[in-house]
Amino acid sequence: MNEEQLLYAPTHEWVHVAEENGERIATIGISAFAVELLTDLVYMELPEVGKELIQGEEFGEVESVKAVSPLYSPVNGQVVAVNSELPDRLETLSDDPYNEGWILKVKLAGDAELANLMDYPTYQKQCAEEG
Amino acid sequence: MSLDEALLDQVGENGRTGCLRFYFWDQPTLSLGYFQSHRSRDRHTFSQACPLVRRSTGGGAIVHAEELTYSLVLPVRHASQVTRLYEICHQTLIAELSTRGIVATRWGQARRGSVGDEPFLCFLRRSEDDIVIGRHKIAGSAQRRRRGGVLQHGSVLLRKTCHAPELAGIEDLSALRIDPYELARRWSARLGDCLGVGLCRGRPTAGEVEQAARYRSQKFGNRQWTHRR
Repeated sequence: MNEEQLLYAPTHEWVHVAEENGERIATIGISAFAVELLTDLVYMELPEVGKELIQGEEFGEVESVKAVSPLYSPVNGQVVAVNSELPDRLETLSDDPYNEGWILKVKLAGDAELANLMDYPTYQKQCAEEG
Repeated sequence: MSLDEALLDQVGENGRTGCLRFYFWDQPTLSLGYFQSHRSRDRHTFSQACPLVRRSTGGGAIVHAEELTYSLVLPVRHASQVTRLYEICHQTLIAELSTRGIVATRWGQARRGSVGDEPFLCFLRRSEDDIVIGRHKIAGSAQRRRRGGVLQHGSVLLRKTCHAPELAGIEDLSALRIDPYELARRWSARLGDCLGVGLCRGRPTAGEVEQAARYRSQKFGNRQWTHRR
């Protein structure tokens, strides 16, 4: 996936929306900037397929350098797929955060909340301020 | 720990400026890091008689006996980088210990070789910012981060305990007596200066106490939480 064409939440999750079998499916991951801030990840906990997510609420947790941090859902919808191999291969998040490092696929409940997300230039500006 | 969690809610949600607490435990207790399996305690014979709790912060298990526990809750702007708060807390403790002639260092400075697989006990693990005397870890910290706020738990090992006799504390390594109350007071002052915040004595609000009671029943005093992994 091209990072310049993704949408981003202020909490550093990325979103790619595509049509799949007539449904609007959002693929979700965390940005390279976030992975670098977190440094060495050691644990990750993800939701089960079927779970309903609400934009801005926690959907999972990661631990790095003894710090437990939440992952926040950037969209509203239902989890339809989880990258279950990821917790056992966390290095994928730093090696390929926008492709192999995808975390969830979510069937969108609607499109309205996508307007709350940032495009790539705006997100880059946020990263520059935080960095 | 329930109160720590309630304070983290406040700093994240309602703009509380932060809080530093020091505490001891009513009885020797084993606390698991958030992601540790409760079954992993079977690996540690000496602490079998200790009650078990699960922290919300990461890292390895700690035997809370003959140690000083601290919790620091701050807005995340004080610690946007995970390691920054470890550095501040540990450097100020190293400086405080040095005034007593105790030479402690960061493990990152002292290490000579790697440590292999992660042991069960926090004090047998090593990470860059841990504090060591020689090769013995005497202080370590771990965090729970949430939107707007960060909670850092840490433990300073004062002396050896029968619940973890493989670990030496500051007194064992320095042959000096440590008054934990005085250590906490003097370390707090250094920490406040280093963070650039004024510290004053305070008490939790009624709302924070109520929220802590909810956390006690839902999480830290609840077997389901402790045995969740």
